[in-house]
Amino acid sequence: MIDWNYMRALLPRLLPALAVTFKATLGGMGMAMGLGLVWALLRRSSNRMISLPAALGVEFIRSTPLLVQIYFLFYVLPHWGVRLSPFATGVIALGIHYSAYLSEVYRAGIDAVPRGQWEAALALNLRPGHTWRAVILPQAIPPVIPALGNYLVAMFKDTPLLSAITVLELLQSAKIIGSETFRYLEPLTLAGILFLGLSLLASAGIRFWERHHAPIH
Amino acid sequence: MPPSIESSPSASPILRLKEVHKSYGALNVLNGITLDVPTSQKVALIGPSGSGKSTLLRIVMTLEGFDSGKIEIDGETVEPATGKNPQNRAAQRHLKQVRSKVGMVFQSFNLFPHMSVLHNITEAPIHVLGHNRDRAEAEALELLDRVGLKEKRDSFPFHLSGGQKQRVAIARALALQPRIMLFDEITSALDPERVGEVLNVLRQLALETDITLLVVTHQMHFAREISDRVIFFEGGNIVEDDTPEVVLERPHHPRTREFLQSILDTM
Repeated sequence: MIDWNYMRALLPRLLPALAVTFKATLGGMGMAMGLGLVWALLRRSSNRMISLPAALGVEFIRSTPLLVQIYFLFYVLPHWGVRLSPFATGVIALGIHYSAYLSEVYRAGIDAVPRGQWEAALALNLRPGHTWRAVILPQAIPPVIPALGNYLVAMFKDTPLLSAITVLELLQSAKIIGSETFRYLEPLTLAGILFLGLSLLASAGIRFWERHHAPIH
Repeated sequence: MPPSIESSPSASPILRLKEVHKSYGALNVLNGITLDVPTSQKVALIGPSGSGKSTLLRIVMTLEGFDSGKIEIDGETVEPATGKNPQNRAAQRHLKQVRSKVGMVFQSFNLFPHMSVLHNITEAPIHVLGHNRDRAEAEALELLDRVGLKEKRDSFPFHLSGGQKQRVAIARALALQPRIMLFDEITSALDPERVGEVLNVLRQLALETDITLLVVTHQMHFAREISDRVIFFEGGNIVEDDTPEVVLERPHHPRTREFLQSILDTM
């Protein structure tokens, strides 16, 4: 039977691991949001020498498993003289992998901005960069924030993959506790509960956003 | 059709089109349009939908390129297929120069929905003309006053009626002090009871300013009232080009008569 008292006693040991998971998710998401926007903008370039490589890059990243990318960065980067902590490597891997997905989200948002907005900006002689910053993106991004939020939750649930490169995140820590005591039920259940709790919280946050930020048109 | 309006030959045309052709695939939208518009002339463009009049405005605004011919806007030459996104910087600068002389108001308003009314109007003066915020806002309020919407300065577009949106759009275009203003069926998307307020603003512009106006419209009474010249388009050609009295009341061309009759029938 499950020992609830034992599980409660494990909580203080898992909380630091939860913090690692949390930070990896936030770092990875921050990077994915920035890089994803860069991909989306490059792919819309009228210059095919820019848009084509960007499209191929996104496709490549999306079509290879995250775990492979994590191993690749962890084992290959040092050969090229780039030495990063496992945590930093993991954050970068999450960021790059999810940037490919987020670029699609941004693209949908950008495509949904009516053509008339571009034409009005052009007729007002706004510079292309200013048009993006002041006219297009402020309309393209708010409607896709729920979709971004869904990827945030997905990324959160992918963080256990970082255990493969020795990051002491939530699952890895639960496993270590289990291997010490040969009781896996409580630590793994607790890890699951913590994942569930935070995922639900994030989903609720997304729904709250959706309700209070109806699209303005 | 000879351009019969050369009323003041001394005034050099602010807009010249020479043999402008434009096609979408097999569809010829403009069939070699040649047209001179003297400074501050008020021109109404009429004709059935698909006749090329809106495309003409969009080409003059440089929203679209054209296939062959030549356009001169206040002495600046626009070449065919300059396109929206010329790759080289000199061409981009030139296109900016051309655009600075032209303003456009669209059928669907195209206000920026995430900006207040005042912000919509000041955005371009601040970032294109380099005006400081105080000056841009003072001028924007003046324009809002002219279109009767000063009290709406802090509203957002989705709180405005169609007629109000269109009046803001006119103020926004005027804020850049264009020499030519293009109006593309600006009352077509409005509820009938909102048309008047927009036409009043346009009337005021026609009567009180020396801005050159090109107005695509289906409002024949309005065209008659405010324009110096009416051009009837059909099938990408100028069919008739004369004073409003001639084109709208005793047109020479049978197609013009048929068109005007069909408009009357639907009223």
